[in-house]
Amino acid sequence: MANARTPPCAGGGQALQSSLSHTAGGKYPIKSSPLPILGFLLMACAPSGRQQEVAEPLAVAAVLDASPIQPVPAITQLDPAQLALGERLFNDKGLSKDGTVACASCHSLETGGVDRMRTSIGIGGAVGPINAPSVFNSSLNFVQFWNGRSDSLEDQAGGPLTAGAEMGNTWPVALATLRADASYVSEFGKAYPSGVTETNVRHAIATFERSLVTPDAPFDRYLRGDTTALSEQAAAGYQNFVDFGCIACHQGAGIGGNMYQKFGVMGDYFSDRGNPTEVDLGRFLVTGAEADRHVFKVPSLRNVDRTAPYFHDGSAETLEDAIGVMARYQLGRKLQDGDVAELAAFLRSLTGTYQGRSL
Amino acid sequence: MNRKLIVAGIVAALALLTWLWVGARSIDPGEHGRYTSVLRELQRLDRTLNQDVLRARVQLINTYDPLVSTEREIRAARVRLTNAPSFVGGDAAAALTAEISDYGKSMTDKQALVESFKTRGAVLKNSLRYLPTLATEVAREADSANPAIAGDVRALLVSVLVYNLTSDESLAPKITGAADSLQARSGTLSPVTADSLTLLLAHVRSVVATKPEVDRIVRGIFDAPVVKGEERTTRAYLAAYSQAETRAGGYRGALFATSVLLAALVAWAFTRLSRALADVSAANAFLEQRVAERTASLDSRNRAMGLVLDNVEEGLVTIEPSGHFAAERSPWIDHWVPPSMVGPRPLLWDWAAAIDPKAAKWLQLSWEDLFSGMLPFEVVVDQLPKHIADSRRHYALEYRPIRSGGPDIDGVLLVVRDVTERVAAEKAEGEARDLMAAVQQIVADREAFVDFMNDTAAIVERVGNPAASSTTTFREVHTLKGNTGMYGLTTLSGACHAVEARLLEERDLTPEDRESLCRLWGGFAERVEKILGDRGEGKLEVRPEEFEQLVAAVAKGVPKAEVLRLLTRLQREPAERRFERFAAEARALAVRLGKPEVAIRVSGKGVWFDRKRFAPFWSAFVHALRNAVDHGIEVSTEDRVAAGKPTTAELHLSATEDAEGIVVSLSDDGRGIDWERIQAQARKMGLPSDTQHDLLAAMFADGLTTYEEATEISGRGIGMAAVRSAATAIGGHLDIHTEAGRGTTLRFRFPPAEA
Repeated sequence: MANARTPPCAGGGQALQSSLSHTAGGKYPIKSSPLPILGFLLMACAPSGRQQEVAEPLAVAAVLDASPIQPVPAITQLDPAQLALGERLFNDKGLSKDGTVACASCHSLETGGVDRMRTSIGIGGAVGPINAPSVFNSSLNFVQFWNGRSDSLEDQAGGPLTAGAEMGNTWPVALATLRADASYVSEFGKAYPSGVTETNVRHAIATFERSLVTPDAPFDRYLRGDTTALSEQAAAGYQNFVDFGCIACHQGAGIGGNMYQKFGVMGDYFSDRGNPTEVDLGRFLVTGAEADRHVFKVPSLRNVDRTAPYFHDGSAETLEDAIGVMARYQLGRKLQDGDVAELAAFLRSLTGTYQGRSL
Repeated sequence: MNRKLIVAGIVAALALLTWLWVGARSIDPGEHGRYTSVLRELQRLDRTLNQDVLRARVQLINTYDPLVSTEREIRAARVRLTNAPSFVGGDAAAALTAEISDYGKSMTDKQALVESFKTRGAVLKNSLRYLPTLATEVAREADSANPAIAGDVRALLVSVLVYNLTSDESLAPKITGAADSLQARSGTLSPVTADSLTLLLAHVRSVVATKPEVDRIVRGIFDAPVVKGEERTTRAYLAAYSQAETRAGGYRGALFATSVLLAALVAWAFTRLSRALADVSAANAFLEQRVAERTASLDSRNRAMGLVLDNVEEGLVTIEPSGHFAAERSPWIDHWVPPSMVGPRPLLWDWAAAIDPKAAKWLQLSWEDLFSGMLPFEVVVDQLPKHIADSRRHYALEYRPIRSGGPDIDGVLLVVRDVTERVAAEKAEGEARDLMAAVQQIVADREAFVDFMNDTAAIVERVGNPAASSTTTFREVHTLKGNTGMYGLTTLSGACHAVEARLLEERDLTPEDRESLCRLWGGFAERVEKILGDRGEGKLEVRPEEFEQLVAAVAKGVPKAEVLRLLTRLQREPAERRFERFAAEARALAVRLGKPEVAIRVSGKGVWFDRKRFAPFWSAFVHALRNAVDHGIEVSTEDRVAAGKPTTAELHLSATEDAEGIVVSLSDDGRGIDWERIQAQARKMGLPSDTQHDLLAAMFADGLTTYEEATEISGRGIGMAAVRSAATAIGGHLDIHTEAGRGTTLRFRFPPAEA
């Protein structure tokens, strides 16, 4: 049990932590993994039974407050009519130029909100330039797209619709198509006073997307105190995740998705990979700032097991591959296989549920 | 006009008030509150962001989610910030917009810094996270091979961790130096450990490079001109607000002033209105009082009028064209003829018939002419009876037209007066006048008057005889009229004239007419009888000179025949005496008729008329004399002068006697007989009129007159016929000689009386 709770490398940092905590003057140690504190709390307050103590909301909240990873927040109340309309639009191929591609074509809810392709295929078999990010938990992202060119889901929703290699449509045509459908006119009428408009289409799709959160991943349960929710390997993987510094970028409720970072801090990924593409420039395409070259939105690691292949170029086909690339270019070394396996186990514990079912 | 002006004024006042009201209310406190809260919220969010950055920097928080959500809130608030309240306007709005722009730019810049902080901070944190793991691994592996390196590694780790948490940059060169020293000594380690050490040192160098950068970013975040921007924006907004507030204050002041003004206006108007209302009600009261007074005065006047009308013996009634009485009429009308007899609204003639059936018939016949429009009203009215009477009362009728503007007659106002008293008085007066005239005649020539009385009595007796022929009666009445007129007995002559008028209409006298004439004469004669005493019927009046002549003749012893002649002569009268009497009458007549002065010559010395034989003739001769004065002599002196004659007219009465008999002639120098008129009149009467003889005959025909209207004196055409008839009765003959413009001579020739 103690093993399950105590990260493998915790002991190494313990002395440092206590000495540093005074220097920092902070309430919490620099190494703010919740587990030691959680364990302490559990033992101090309720040695008789863990489950009961975990149910103590204040204590858990206090722990979670300092945790670098937060559980998926509850969905705010969404308008049912708008939600239903958004779902219908999300699945409607009629929004594309030739009626072959829907949002769901590349962001299938059955396959982790992605198409599991290296890069997406749009109308007429056009091959897109970039790997499709998952639509699940997209609302947790602080900006949308790999390079963050949209700062809202509403803004994002229009992008693929008019992108030539994706749905290839124009708004006037899309709206005319919608208006020609009496049932759409009726549904829009119920959901929005202004009826069928571009703004409302965007809003409806965004509303639907906000509903696509995946709570209750094993790791979320672990965070809430269910120490059995993770295997030892996964728990060790989390400790590695923290100790190796991954947690510096992949933090927050989305375990990523709330900041930008350069792909290749400790090495030049792109020259090593070769074959540079425009999208490799990342945020540079948006800001034009040299500092933003190869800078991308740090992707959320939630459901990461279900969204292969990985990275904007879809170059990593497995989690282990991706972990290896990240270690090589963000950390500067090759990890031992055991560490990689533990990290992968941890990452697999991030798969949440949608409509009561695990992705 | 006035009303339009008032309405326009009210509309203008309302528009002004509305404008001022809108201006005064231009500052929406809710809007102001929301906007200032946006400014405050941005301020708070900025502080939160700073705190979050700081906490993230010192790893009090290990996630950027708070930063992300704060930045999201800032983004939303910035949208609200650009929607400045509507009351902000003018240059203040421009200034505010500029400040907001600057403020937004500073926030955008700060956001970029925050992103850099997140990115670079993550790199720093990544190294700091990994260093302990790596250092532990290197130190553990180096412990056996080179414990000094292990110790240096651990010291370096501490230095790096401390360096991260201090602002003391003097540690950096030492760390770099330690790192270089370790790098130089890495050859003593196994290759794997040396690689690990190299990686460790790379991370150490990364920390040394990144930490100042991150601190710079954090300082940049803290030093970002966001707070200043917020302050300046707030100031600009408050300036704009105060400007708007001042403007609204101006509107409020104007609104207040206008309201006070309007209130004063309304109060003034109200005062005026109430005063006007008071005036109106006072005027109403005054008017009502005046009306009441007027009504009362009218009532009293009406009562007075009614009293007057009721007490004047005068009946007033309006008669409609149909002849019906109007309902409104003075009470006398109904008093004289009660409605019980003729109904409530009788016809005029039915009403009149109750008094005088004859006049009523006449009225009924003539009534329509009043409204036919054929003749002037006045002419028709002249034909209507003006006097009606029953056996007891006399009424005078007067007709006045009722016109309602136009020429047509809408009705007739009939004025009826009971003139019974006046008629009686006039009658009494007339009788007295007649008696006076008689007394004068008696004094002047008693004998002649006695003759007249005798003649007249005889005539009246004949007239009173119902068996007499109408022609005879006509002449007798005419003679009677002439004689009584000659003696100035107006009542009698008037009565004769009235009877004569009726005779003309009806050609015969009613028993009432005869009786009335007889009664009238009887009354007169009775009164005269008393003055005259014995009229001397059967007496022989002898004058002293006649008596002396007779005595002298007897004394002289004239022959018996001569004495007889003288004695017989006592029964006669000398022509001159008779003529003088006629001359006096003629002179009086001329004066009465307004004729020019008349000189009357009388000649007849030695001619004596048998009194008895000539009495009827003299009675009728009056007509001839009257004709001469009335018809023969010109109407005026001017007419005579125009005809080249002396102003004084001449009348010559003469008598001559020879063996053939006596000739009495009467001549005048007047106009002569107008034969043409006689001819015209004769034709009108259907008489022969072709020869001189025819005309002479016509002249003597009963009823012919050349005068337009008969008068009391002459003109009935009966005169000449009467005088000729009287002459013929005593064997006489009449010749007429006339010359137009020069005069007329009548010559009566009487044969000697049979012995």
